[in-house]
Amino acid sequence: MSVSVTCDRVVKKYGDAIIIPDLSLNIHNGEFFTLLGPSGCGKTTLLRMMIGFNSIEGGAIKFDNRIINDMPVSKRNVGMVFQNYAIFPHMSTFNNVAFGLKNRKIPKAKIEKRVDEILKIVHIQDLRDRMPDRMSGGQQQRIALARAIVIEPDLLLMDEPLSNLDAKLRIETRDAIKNIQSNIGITTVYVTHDQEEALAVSDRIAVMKDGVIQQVGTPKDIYNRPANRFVATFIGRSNIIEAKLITKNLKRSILFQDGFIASLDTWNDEALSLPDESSILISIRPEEFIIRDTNDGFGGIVRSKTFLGPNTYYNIETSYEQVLEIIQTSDELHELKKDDPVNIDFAHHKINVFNADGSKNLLLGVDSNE
Amino acid sequence: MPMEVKICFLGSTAMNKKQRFDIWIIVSIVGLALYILFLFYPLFGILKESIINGTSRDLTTEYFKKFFSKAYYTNSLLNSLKVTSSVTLITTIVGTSLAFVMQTVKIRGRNILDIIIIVSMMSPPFIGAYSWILLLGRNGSITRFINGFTGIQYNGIYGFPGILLVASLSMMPVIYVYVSGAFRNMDISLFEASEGFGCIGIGRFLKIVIPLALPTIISSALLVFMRSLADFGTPMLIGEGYRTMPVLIFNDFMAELGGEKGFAAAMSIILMGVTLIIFLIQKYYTDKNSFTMNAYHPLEPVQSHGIRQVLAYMFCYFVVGIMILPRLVVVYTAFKNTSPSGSLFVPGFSFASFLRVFSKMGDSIRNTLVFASVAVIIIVVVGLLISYVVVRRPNRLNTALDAFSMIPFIIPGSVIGIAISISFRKPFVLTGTAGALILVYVIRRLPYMIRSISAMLRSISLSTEEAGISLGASHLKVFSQITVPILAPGIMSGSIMTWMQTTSELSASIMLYVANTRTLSISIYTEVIRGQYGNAAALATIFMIISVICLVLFFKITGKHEFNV
Ligand SMILES: Nc1ncnc2c1ncn2[C@@H]1O[C@H](COP(=O)(O)OP(=O)(O)OP(=O)(O)O)[C@@H](O)[C@H]1O
Ligand SMILES: [Mg+2]
Repeated sequence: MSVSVTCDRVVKKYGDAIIIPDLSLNIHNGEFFTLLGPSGCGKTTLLRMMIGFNSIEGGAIKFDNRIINDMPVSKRNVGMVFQNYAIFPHMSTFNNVAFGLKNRKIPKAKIEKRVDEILKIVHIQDLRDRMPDRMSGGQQQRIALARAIVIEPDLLLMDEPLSNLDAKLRIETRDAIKNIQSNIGITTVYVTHDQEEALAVSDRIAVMKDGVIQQVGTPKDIYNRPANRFVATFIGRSNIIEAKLITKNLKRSILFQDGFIASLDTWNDEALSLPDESSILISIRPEEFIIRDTNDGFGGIVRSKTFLGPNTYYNIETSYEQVLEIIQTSDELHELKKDDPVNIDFAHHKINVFNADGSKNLLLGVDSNE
Repeated sequence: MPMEVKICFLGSTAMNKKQRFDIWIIVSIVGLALYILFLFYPLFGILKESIINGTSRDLTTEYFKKFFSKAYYTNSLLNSLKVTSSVTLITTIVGTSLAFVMQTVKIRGRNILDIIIIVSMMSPPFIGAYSWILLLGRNGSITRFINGFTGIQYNGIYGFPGILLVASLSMMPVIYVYVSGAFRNMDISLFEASEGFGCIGIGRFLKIVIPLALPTIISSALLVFMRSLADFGTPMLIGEGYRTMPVLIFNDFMAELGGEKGFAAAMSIILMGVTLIIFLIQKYYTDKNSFTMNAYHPLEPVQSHGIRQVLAYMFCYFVVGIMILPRLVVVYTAFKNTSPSGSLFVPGFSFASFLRVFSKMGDSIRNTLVFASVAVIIIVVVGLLISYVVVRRPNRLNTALDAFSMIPFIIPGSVIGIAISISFRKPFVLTGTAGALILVYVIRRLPYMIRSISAMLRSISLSTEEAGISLGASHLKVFSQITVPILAPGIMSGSIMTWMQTTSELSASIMLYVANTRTLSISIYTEVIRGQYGNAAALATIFMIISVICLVLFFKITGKHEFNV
């Protein structure tokens, strides 16, 4: 039986160092939930608190409604896939996978059946009786996954399970993991610092920094409406442009440094309450720019370009000397050349606007708490 | 007690106090108690003995004064240092050269040479001493040949040159094994790069190779220094009038009359002081100078030609030949016919010596096998538990345990022998029992086992054990079904080495044996002393057969010809 996981004002300290100051989180039953953040932000720490390898210094972690703070690891029924796989090197694939079942005193015949089923699910039935020492990273990874899910855990934890694989295998295994997870429908908490991986597999993502959750949301929400500047730049790429908030024709608008004005309709209450002339930060992703023949948008000069097949990257310098990164679909008819003057506009509904210190999004549609 | 086992990690301070108390705490406490009882208590005993007058039981410094005021005694310390330094110098130079040549030049029969070197490292120095007496002693075959041929009256290789020859040959393999390891870790690109600068041959050896291997060379040289300083069998057998410290300690301690135990204890303390200084130098040096080399393309022996090749072959075969020669003589002697009493050789060959030792000294063979096996079992169990707590449960208690476990490294065997002998007489009687011998075996070999198991444990990732816990196994089950089986092959080969080296222990057991706890090495020694050369040769041959069997087993298990001492 899968469970939901609730972190209620959880605190983690190592001695005097506070790693997680105050963290709350709701992970729904059956969902594929990803913790994403830069190295050292506390992802592994949080995961290990869930399984019971790390103590909890404050708050509570609940599985459904049971507080598990002091429950021993063996009673929590949590499966874990480790970054280095942690395969038992002295046991065959079968014995590795059967280890957890044997601890549960399940009859032999049943163990065989369950293990064989799982091996089929993760596509390593051919390796059943082989020893793991000569296996590839991807194969070991699958054993680790099989071993963790065969015990039918209430919760499955994976700590950067793909980081030791090469790029191609990573994508292949990532898709396999996602498929298996959705087939068996087990609540899964997945840790990674690879944002593309997070976007690809997750139902929802929590972006963490320094032990603090920055935003929780679906991959789409997080990509489209990042809650703050950190999220906007950590997930995907974003050009951050300084600008001012003004009121023009009774509408809140953005005044760019070279005088270009763009008006938006989707301001939130916070934005409406800010005084005119407040500094703001505009976050525009490279693909959100539109190069115009007309005079709309702000002016710039092409400084360099890189052809990448379907897309072409441009570095364009604005009149106030900020270099922007822009992606356009490669198109021979409209190809720009170095030193061409251009006018750049952007898809107004796609951009994001943050307050001066980048801590808050000023547009509607961000819900950082759920 | 319900066992709520929870893993405690580095720095994890907030463990629930009552859950923290688990079986591993008991292991640490018992381990500590064992060290106090079997190491500190005897060492304290020897210290006490050295500063308390034997008859009046008053506090005194007379023993130390006596030592330093008489040239007779200080000379033996100087003798020890002199012979030890010479041995260290010779072995370092020859051992390093041998390692270099064997690692860079393709030599036919390299594997066999390697095995011979290792066999000579494994067999105790006193067998070497005895064999050289057979060759170059007063009545040795070479001596007789030379004297008969030239008419000079050579009196045999006793004293300083004898000790030097025997000790150098038995310690050289230590240097060879360590330094070869360092050479193997050198990348061939270092060589190629130096070639680009026109740096080849001897120049390259001195400018590139030696500096890179220097940390290993120096630390193994210091190891040789410590071992040869503590060596008792060699100077005892071949030293004759040339007194070294271990011999002096032994004589004073064992003398039925007139010997003073307090004086022997004081000398032990002095000897220990010297060893400690060398050990500290070695530790300081290795801590400062250790760097790891990783070879992507390790050095490989290459085919060489002309004079170079001839020289390389001559050098390797000559050195190894000198190592193997005395062992061959021992085997040959063992099959020589003897008079019924065994004290005289008569023409022809027979099994007489073997038959005699089997009938009269069968018990020493049996004792050797039994004692060494019991000791190895204890060493493995205790070593495993102590290594586990030291590596996996770092806390103050276990850090102390770790430090204590290394102490026996620096205590010369004869000192351990004396310490045990004076400490376990009454009420806790060990002296004179098999227990005493087994105890010194354990004390002397345990540090090596702990060191090797700890290294293996560190290479097993913690998450392997955590995976076991997360799959519902209890802590003990993880230990017994995951940790121990992963370590098993390493422990197995380590046990064979330990067993082999245990059987050759002499310097401590010689102080502790009684008639019915004689072992092979003790019997060889006593037979030599009694002039029963046929018996000694037969026993030594049996001993060598056992060693070779062990080595073959070891190579079978590890699948390679490399190991550390
Ligand atoms: N046992 C420990 N004792 C003290 N500090 C620790 C311990 N384990 C982790 N930390 C600290 O806690 C912080 C979070 O570590 P954690 O391993 O959770 O990071 P992470 O987000 O998993 O990073 P990565 O992506 O590199 O794996 C780091 O600053 C780390 O140094
Ligand atoms: Mg981590």
